[in-house]
Amino acid sequence: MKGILTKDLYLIKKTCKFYLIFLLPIMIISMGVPLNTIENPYGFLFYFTVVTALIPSTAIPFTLISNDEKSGWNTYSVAMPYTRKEIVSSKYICSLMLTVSSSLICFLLQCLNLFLRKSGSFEMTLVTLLGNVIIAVFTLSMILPFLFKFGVEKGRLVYTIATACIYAMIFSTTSVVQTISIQISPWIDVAVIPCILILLALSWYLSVVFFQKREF
Amino acid sequence: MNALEIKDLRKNYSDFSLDGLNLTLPTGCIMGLVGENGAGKSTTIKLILNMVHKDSGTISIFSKDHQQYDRNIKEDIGFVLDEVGFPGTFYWKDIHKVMSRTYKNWDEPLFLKYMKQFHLPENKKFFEYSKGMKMRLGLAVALSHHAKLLILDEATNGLDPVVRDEVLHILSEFTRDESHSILISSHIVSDLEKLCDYIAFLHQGRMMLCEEKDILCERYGMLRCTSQQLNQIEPSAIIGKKENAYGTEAIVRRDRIPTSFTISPVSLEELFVFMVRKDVSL
Repeated sequence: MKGILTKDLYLIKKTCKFYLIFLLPIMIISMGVPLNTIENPYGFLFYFTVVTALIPSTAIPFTLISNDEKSGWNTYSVAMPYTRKEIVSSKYICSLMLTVSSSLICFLLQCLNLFLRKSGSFEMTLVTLLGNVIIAVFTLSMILPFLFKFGVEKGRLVYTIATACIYAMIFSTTSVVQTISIQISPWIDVAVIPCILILLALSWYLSVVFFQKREF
Repeated sequence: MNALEIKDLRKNYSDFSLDGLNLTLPTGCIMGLVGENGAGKSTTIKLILNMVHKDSGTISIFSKDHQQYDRNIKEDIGFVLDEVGFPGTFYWKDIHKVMSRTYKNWDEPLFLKYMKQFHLPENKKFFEYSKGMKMRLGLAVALSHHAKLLILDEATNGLDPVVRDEVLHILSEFTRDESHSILISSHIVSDLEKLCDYIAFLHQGRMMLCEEKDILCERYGMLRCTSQQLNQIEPSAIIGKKENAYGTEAIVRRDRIPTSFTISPVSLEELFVFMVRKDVSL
């Protein structure tokens, strides 16, 4: 498992330079965008979601699996002393690690934004953080089983459909967050966490089953 | 003990079937898998390495079931497939780090020795390597974790004659240790002829023969004669023949040919081509 994780992390390090070039401007722009309000529901939160949830959770698994297919590593690795379960798990671990670390970076940025503007609420920031992690894990959980079942080429179709769903979710989450922050307890997101974790576990299980059956 | 034992192995695809394959590779020996494109060589190797799932039959490696002891067995297997599948953006130092965390018995000094011996540049990414360089790196990885069984699928293809000779020498050295064995498939039958103790001929998913190389050379020979002379020979003695305007060439079983005929030695390539084509008129 250590070997395959090392390989995935090296690959992420090498390919993430491209994403950093893409992400940094978004992060900087997001600092100058007004915080979400009822009048401006797609303010900071929109950029925040793009940076913390959408890009790492969709692009990274695609990059990893597509690279493996292109280089022939997916064929090679199954002949090495890794179990197929480990190969699948490594993709989940790396994608989650990236999602969590980018979420934390953006959380700190949002806290800085709050401090500098001296407006908005910390509760809203926490709810946003949770919301984004949930969207990221949801996206990962949806995409990975399809990639393990069909490979990247066919998986692209699923990716397109999933992306449409994610965008729909972002917009609906934004309005939900507004409502939550104003009317209901912000901790309602916490209740979603067990459901998302169950979805993640189910997704991992399905990916393992699909990958066990694949032939190279 | 046998390094590899395959019994009645079957695998069906819509357009191809591996049909009841039986094969035994004793420890300390080198076996060459010969066959035309699509004969089932790569499928056999992929089945051994658990990359595809068998329909029926058994595969034992060092007397252990290859599925039940998959992980342990793979620690003892070094392999090179026709496409060496390391990530293109990796330098060999990155591959070295990954492999050192993959194989328990990874031998860093040995790997570095091969890097030097194979003249593999440190500052080039894997995708910038030529096919020959990729093969050499694949071979270095396969040899650097003290594997007891090497499985090579078309591993000498794409190598220039000098490097190929060097690789064949390394493979010969590898089997000096009596606990080491090699299963190698190649289109270059002359390489296998130099290297192998056993030869297995695959044709359309069936094992035509699996025998010691020396026995094959003793058993079969090339008969050059006229077609009238060939007609005097018992048909079961003729493995395959080729007729042209200048006469007839036939691969025959030496023990069934009258002593009055002169039989010359046959190369493995000739034996294989004649066996597959059976009867060719040019």
